[in-house]
Amino acid sequence: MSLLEVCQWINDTGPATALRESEIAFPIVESIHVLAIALMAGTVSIVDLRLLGIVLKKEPVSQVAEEVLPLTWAGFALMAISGAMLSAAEAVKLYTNPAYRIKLVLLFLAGLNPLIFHSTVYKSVSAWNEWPRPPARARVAAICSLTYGVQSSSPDAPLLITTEICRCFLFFTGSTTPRSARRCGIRPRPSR
Amino acid sequence: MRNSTSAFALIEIVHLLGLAMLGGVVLIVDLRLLGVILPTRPADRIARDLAPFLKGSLVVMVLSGIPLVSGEVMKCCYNGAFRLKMLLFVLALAFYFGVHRRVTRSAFVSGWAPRAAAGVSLALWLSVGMAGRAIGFL
Repeated sequence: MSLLEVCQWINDTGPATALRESEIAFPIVESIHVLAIALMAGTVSIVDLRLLGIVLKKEPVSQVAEEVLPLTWAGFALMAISGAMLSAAEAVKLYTNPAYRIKLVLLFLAGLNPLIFHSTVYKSVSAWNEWPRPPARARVAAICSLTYGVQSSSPDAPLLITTEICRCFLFFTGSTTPRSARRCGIRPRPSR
Repeated sequence: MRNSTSAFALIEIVHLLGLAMLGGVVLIVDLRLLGVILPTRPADRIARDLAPFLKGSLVVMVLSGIPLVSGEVMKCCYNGAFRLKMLLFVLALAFYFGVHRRVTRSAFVSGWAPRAAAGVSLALWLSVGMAGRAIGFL
């Protein structure tokens, strides 16, 4: 069975047809989708701005991250569920849409962000938790994350390549305490 | 404006990015006032810290909103959702600059006032967004 046939089958299932043809349900699900994106992007950008040392400079990074990111995940979950419903309803139409394919790839790449961030820079957060302006690597991670907000609305190849190079750099430079923190005599401690 | 699909889409993207920022800031400040997040950090400081971003995203949204509307003024004028959105938007603005800001600026951010302000503010901004979504469907 080819991908197009799978899309056709999804497109023709009962719930997908009902959603596509409904004059009320479709706009409602679409509105939920947009609001969920706003929730996700808005809350994660607050965390990114904290990592850049622009807002909430006096609040510890770990506290901002731990209390704000659950909201981001809630937005993501809502977005994913409503997005899957909308995609199922228009599966055949979207199969031929190049913008939709780019969007899926970007979504996947953006999904790697928290994974890379938490397994590298964030591991040493206890060393720079209270810094008004976190170390350079954390700031790079924040810029990568912010870039995806712009990317997903208007993809741009050079910007994407630059972001990916930065992320590879972050990923392969590991989770050691940043040099700027060591210079201040701070040793890595297990995070709380 | 109404004849150019790419210009409309581009400005709409700016409008939506503004929405995300505004929504994020409103949510963080109001959830803090409700005591849901960052309860151990001072609410007035969080509100003060994020205020420039709230005002900035408001400016972005208004500036990008004007060309979106100007392309189809006549259509919007008779659109019930658009009228409702503008009414709610003015109410939300008035509430923010008249009440909300004073509550978060006062030295004693405690008691029922901040919670009530946060609840009203969340409800107002959410309904502005919902009415905005409805414009296209009417």
